[in-house]
Amino acid sequence: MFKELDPLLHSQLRLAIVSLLLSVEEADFVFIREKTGATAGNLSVQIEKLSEAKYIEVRKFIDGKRPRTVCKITKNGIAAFNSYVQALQDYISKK
Amino acid sequence: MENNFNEQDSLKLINEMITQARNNFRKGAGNSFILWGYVIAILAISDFILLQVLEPAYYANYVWLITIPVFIGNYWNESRKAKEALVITHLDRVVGFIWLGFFISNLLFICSIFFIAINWNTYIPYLFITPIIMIMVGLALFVTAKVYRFKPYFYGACIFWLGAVLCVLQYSFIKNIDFEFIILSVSMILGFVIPGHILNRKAESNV
Repeated sequence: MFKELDPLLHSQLRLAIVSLLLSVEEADFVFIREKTGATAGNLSVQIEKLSEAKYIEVRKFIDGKRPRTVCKITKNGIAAFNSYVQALQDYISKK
Repeated sequence: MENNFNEQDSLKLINEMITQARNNFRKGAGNSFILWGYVIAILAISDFILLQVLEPAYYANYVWLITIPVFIGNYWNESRKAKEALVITHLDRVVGFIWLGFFISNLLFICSIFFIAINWNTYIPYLFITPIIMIMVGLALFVTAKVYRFKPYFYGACIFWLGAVLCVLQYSFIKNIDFEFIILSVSMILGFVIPGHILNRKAESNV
């Protein structure tokens, strides 16, 4: 039996966001947009979904006159990512 | 981005994103190295010159007190920059701790040297200050080079280790301890300033 791939992570942009955040302490919205090449609108929607699932933590604040959105992966997010990679490895090895 | 992609695409994407983040250097990551490189190089040269002209000569060593306001100013500036940074990597944090550890070790070492020298009324422990600090700088640079996977810091570490050996050798052969400041000054330019500029150029092309 294959473990089901987490549908929240099995999406190209959401997986890219989580993979990126896993590799850093925290990252600004602008940084994530540059690295993923996504549009601001699409990225906002996907970040919101990950935040609702408590996979990432989102901090919104004003830095001087500039609004900032900083994202950080949570323990839930790390656990979900590990399970996702495990499921992926099982799938590939049994294929 | 498409929603339907296979497991190979997933692994490729994860790998790509992790590599992107890992190879990312914060803009201006080399600034602290450049600042400290120039400050210590200038202070070392000033100390060397003042040792020849001042009477009593040891007054020249007070130039090192300038490092205190520089440390405070740089710490304040770096904290402000960290808040504005688009990304803080795990590596940035690890390297920050390495240099904080270096600073604490240095402080304890210098206090111990003064404690022993004053209590035993001998100048001998002072001879160890420059070479030992250079060995510790070499260690911190070596670990920084390995964490960042940035070769110029590794060469910088080698320069500091070589500089420390030269300091000890000149005590024996030239019999003039003042030349340690020339060695320190050259090491700061070669081991801090030049790699700092190279790192900044690399960071510029990353973000």
